[in-house]
Amino acid sequence: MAEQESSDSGWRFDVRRLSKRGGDMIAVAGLVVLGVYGWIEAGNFVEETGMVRTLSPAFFPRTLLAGLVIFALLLLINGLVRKAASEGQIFQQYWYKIPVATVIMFAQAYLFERIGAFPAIWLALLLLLVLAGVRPLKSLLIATGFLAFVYLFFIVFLGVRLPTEFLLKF
Amino acid sequence: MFENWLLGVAHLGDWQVILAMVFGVALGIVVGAMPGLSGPTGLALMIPFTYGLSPIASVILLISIYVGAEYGGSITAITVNTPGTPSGAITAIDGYPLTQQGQTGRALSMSILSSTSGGIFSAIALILFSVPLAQFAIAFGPVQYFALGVFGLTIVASLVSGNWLKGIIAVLIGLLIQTVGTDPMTGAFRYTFGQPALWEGVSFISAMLGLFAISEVFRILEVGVRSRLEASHNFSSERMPFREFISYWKCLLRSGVLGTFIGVIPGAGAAVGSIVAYNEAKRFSRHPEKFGKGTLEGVCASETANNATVGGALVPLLTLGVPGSGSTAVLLGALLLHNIQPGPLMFEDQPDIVFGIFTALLLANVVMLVLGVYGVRFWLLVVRISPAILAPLIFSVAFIGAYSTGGNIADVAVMLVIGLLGYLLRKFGFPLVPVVIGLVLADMVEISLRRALIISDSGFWIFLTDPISATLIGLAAASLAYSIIQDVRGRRRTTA
Repeated sequence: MAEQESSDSGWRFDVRRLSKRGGDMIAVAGLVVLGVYGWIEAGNFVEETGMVRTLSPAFFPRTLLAGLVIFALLLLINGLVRKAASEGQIFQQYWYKIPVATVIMFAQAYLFERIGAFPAIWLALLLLLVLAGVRPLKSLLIATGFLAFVYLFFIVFLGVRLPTEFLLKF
Repeated sequence: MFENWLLGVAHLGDWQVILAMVFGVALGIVVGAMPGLSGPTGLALMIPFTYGLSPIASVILLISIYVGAEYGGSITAITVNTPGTPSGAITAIDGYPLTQQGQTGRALSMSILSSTSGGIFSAIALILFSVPLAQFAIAFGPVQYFALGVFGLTIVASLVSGNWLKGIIAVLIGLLIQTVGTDPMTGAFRYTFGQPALWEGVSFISAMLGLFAISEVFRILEVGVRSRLEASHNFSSERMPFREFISYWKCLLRSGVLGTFIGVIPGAGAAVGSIVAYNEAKRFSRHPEKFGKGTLEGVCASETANNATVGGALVPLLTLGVPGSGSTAVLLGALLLHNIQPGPLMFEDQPDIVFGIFTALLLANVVMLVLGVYGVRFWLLVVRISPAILAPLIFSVAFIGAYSTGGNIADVAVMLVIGLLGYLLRKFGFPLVPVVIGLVLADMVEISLRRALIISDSGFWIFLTDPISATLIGLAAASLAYSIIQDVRGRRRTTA
């Protein structure tokens, strides 16, 4: 479980202090929730009735979900028994870059068909390069150069169809 | 048989096929040499762009990447002590000390010559064993296929991770992802949440790109910028005379056999092949004390075995349709996308594809030899790209790849969600290879299970009364029991 510590300013959460054992506990909780939710959701599968005798569409997913919950609980027991093997930390120094990168990636997906492939790729690539620690001017050059590569390699050579309506307006 | 060979060789008259082979080997070498990138990542990134190629050119491109990637890891292992692949770490044990002793050229010569020998040896083994195995497997029905699927999944889960519980859970997650979409037998929608984009299920390409490419991007970002690879030595360009190389024939033969055999076992892979061959080379050597201090015999054993696993791993993939590693799982997915169904029937229905693959595998090793001998300095320049630059570029290529397969932004969203899932799985210690193998085998396992139960009067007993099925399920249970025993022994050692 993530450890919390009190300070003068109140509770402070530091994801880097999450131990491997704590990670296993979180994983088990997530898997059990997934298993229960998946089992309930499988009850909503609408089955077509026909002449051929067949098994329910929920049969296979429910078998897997039952296995998932059983093995997750075994993992929990294993983690409690083997304390020494689950020491150590999970997340690294720059963990906070992951949520930022995720937002940039989904933003590119949102903008891709709205403003066109080239501006969306350029903008997201530039931001990701800066986030990764590349100097802004170098990032600008790489992002712009990559657009030329996209055009020549993907569009001209491979014939990949990308949304370019935005460019056609000009 | 002879006509089939002619059909296979005929493909090589196509410039597209030759270009695909050369480009594939070159890309594989770069991917293998770059620390952090892996063969499956390179394969996953290239799949979307194979749609414009003929099926045989696509398959040859991907197999060539696989061949090149197994060799590429040794270049950075020998020159800068930074192996690009897990098996490269074994090569580095003796390869880097040789560089420190000013024998880089000889070590690199040994690496490329033994990789080529291992690759060609295993390709010949593949040709010899796959045809009879396919003829044996032609009688398989749903009962045997279900048992085969369970065997493949269990053995991969128990061998690949070192933590059998997490391996099994990873397999179940892979199987569950594939239940999203339309039920293959009744047509009912499962876990689609009213989204038409999910009716056809999770796109295989999006899943592969998410699991391998996007999770890798996250990992690079999280670790932070690392300085690019810098060489601390001036590399000698002295090459090893071929006569000297031949004097290592015992090591080559032994490591080739071990690598090929280990490659056939699902879940074992190139790293295990290299470790076993290295240990055996040391055991049989006249100078075991030189191992670890810089001996060409160590490089020979590791490199022969890791490339020999390629042909071995293709045996169950081509004959039974069961992948045993991350790379072969991605290959299986790619073959299915091109309407090529690996398995015994492929040997009857599409012999040109089968024998095209055999011919290409032999030739790809020759291409690798040429590119390896003459291109080392170029590969070293390429792999010096900083990971900080590489990660965003991988994301952009993966994004275009996921979008271009169906022109649908939902595929990109699926890739990102699965990428996040893959990153979290890696963080919490769950291996990704069993997830991928679960994904590609899910349809075979589910359809075979349901068909077998429909035709069975005895329910699940049918899997134990059929001799082939019972043997496979017995082997699956044995591999699981072996992992549990190892786990208990490890726990006792820790507490002792």
